[in-house]
Amino acid sequence: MMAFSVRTVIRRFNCRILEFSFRKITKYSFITNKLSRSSVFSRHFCVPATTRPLPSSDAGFEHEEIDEETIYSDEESFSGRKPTQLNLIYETLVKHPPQSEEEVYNFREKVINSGHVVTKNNVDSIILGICSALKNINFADSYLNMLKSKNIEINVAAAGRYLRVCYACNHVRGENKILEICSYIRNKMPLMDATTAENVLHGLSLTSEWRQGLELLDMIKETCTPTGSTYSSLVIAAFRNDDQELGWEIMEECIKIGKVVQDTVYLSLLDLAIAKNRSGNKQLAFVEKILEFLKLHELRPSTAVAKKLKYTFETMNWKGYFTSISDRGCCNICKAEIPPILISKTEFQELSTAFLEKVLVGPDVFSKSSPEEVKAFQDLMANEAPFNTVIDGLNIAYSTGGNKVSVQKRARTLQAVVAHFVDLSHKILVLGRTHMNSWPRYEMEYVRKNSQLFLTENLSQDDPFLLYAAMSSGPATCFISKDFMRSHAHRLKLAMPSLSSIFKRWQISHQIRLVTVLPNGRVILKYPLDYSPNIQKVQSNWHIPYQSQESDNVVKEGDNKVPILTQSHLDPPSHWLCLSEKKYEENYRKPFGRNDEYNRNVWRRREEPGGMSYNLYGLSSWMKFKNIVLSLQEFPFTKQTSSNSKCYLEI
Amino acid sequence: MFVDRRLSTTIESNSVLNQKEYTSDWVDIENLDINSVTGGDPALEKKLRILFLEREILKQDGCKVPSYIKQDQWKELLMLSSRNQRKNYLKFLFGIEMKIVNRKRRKEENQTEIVYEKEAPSGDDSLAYGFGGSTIFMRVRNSTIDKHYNYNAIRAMIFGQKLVFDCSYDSFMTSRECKNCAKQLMLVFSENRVHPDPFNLYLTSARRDSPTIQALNKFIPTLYEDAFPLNVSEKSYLDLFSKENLVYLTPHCREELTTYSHDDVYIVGGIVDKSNNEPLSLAKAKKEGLRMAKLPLDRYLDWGSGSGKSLTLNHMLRILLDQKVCGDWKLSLRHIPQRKLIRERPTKSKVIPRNVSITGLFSS
Repeated sequence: MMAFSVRTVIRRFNCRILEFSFRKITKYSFITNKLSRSSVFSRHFCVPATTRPLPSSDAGFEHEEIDEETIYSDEESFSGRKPTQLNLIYETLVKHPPQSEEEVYNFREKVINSGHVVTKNNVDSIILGICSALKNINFADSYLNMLKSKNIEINVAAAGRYLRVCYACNHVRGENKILEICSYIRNKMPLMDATTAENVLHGLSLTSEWRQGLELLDMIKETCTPTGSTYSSLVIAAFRNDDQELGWEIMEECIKIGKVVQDTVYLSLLDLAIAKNRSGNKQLAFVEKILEFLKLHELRPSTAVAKKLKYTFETMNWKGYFTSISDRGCCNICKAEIPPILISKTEFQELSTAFLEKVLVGPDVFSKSSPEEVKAFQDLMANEAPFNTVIDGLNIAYSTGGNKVSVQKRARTLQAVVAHFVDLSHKILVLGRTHMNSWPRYEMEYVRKNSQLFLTENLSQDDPFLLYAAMSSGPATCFISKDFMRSHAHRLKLAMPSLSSIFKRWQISHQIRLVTVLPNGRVILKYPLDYSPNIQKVQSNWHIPYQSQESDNVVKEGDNKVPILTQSHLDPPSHWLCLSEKKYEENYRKPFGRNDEYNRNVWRRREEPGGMSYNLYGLSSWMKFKNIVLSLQEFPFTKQTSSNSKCYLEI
Repeated sequence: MFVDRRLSTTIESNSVLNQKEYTSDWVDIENLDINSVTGGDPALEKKLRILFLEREILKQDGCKVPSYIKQDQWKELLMLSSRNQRKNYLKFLFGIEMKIVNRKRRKEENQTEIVYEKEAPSGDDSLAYGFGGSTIFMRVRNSTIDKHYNYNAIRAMIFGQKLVFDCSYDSFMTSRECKNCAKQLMLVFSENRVHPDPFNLYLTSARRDSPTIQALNKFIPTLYEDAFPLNVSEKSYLDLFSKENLVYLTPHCREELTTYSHDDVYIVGGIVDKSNNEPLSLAKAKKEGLRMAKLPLDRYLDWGSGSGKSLTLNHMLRILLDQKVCGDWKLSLRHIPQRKLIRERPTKSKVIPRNVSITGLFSS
């Protein structure tokens, strides 16, 4: 009898992923804190990660090793290290903001006199900055009136801060005042620095003079790249004033320079559509254009946007369902089949040639390899390619974990994986380093006989060779490695940004990950996605993957949202929205239980390049351990029937 | 209605480039020779003027901004492309300014104390020299100590083992990293000459106009004088030494330097790679077909998680110096900062001597 079940093994595997992602959180929270320190206000008042939820633990899965305290330890609390003056302002504004003019004036004096950080010169800007964080337009108004009546000069920074308060509160009614302040700033500074220009742009976006923002945008670009918030405010203004063409143009530009279009944009666009829908003017084409935009840029909307989308479609007499997609890429509500990831021939060609030049060779061949080695490898590929499967030998061997595992065991793991693919009559390429020559002879002899073994120098990197081999073998070839290949993707992105999305798509659809090798030599693999994890329109139904609130931790940080991946990008999105004109029954039967994602992956079925074969080894061995009698009611054996019938297990 | 004194002079957008139109309270801006900062480029000049405003706004916003920015610092600011970079740089300059202010204040405070002490009659006579402070011992001045150390270095230049710092990596470093590198090279020089048995140091591929060497020249103004005891060469080490003796010390290779050879010429890459993780020195040595080695860091030390295993140039030098004298890795690796290691409980019996002297070695 086995000591632990398949489930435990898988759990351990995933545990490692989660542990990794937690480490990432720690890293991010540190970075965001660092970022937030750059501004006096955001440092203290854009409540960072304290309120953000932890990544959801999956069904019955505990994570004891993770200490929450260490994750959030470097966060600042209000009462902690904050200077007393800022503390004073914040607490006064939250608890009992001064009402009358005299009180406001006294408050200002009190702040100035209680320390040396906030001085006469910067007090107005700091107080108004805190107002914008608290979205308190009333106090900002009374503060400005006080300054006017006391005849205190308002400096440009403070005036800009006031405009930001207006924007934060969406204070459209105060148009006259906003325009007055904008012209005041413009008179003082005909040439504006980027921060002031951004503040003015935010202010103007609420008014009829929003078009001046375009000019300001150019002014900002002279010294830095505009923030996502700047673009977003301009986009909202354009759509609000019915200049859709310009709005789309700016959105495209924003995405192009790598900034995030904020959620507020999508929400306000949908608000506009809802208002028009109500008045009888159906906006289906407009809303679909938003979805097309998201699809084109491979964006995943947030939960709030997904909910709004559902609501918008419901005002047009559509139906929206929150759903999940089965492993075969079938929507659990409407049963539509999500199409697979598509990479066109030219795209693939471009990717594989660029990969050789930019990543494998790069600026200096010697840093990863040597010219002779590259030449030898290219010769090998020319003579022997294409291969069905390319195996990352060292990654597989070392996935057995721990430093104390013997070389023998490592070699056996590799041998088992090779044997698995030999059984499928694949042509295999195994990559490794020359030190593998000293591994146990029996196992290595098997690998050598049954596959093409290419060993790079000990000082070379083998991953680029692996990826290149898989690419140059053609689009049908998969590679086997647990490595997420982040560094290579990054290098490719730096060299050719346009290829980054293609590489990601290729990796998602071509990387097989080893889950474990059981003691009896059975290999359990996690196969790549069969369907595209992006927004799709299938048979007039929209399928939209979205970021669920619990599982993706989106840290709100000033203007930008920093998504933290709890899953790797190779895993399928767990939350989908299905939009349809028709009504469907919501009580569908969940195949294998919806949350049991890991088990689904073990049991998945896949068409192999060499014919039909099914990865049921994992399933049957798990059954044996659990003493479960399996009765297969119906099992689809072809892809065509799979969309109509499902596979149920009666346990 | 509102009058801001600082920006009260109106700046017409077309006449912005006219220097006389812009006035400001900032002393440094008034004294700034704009042409020498921008090189007469009108686009850069416009950017510079926007940066003036940016600093003003940051100040009004309560950010940390220095009150005086020097000409080359403006140049540096002009090079930075993003707002956050500039903000951080200004904060950095502000920190330096405050340090200087505080130092001055402390000095003044100390001086008043000294005056006070002098006036007060000293109760304890034993510490003061007799004869009105005169003594039979000659006072050893700083310059004398300096000469002695330089003698030490010159002796090494005649008889000592050669050690090369390869300064050919400037193109892979940011300007900040170049400055750090220069500082480390300065420390390398000073720590080397203090040691009982110094190296004969070579800086190779050190082009005089490269940022690192320029910064080093700022730290050591006498660097290019004939009598200065350091070999600075624009040539590569391949032209200076025979290839068989060269060993490149690079952390990316797999061979460990187990036994220290007194005949080899070791090369240390002059890189500060805070942002760059590429195995540059490995690639270079591989390309030139040199022998490679890395320090046996894992063999002798338990490394903590978190901080990396990268060492500064002066740490590298200290380790090699001690290795040359005593050949004991445990002893020479004590120069690695303790924060990088898993801390052991201090045991009193194992006190490692701070200075290694040759005499001590031969007697045992």
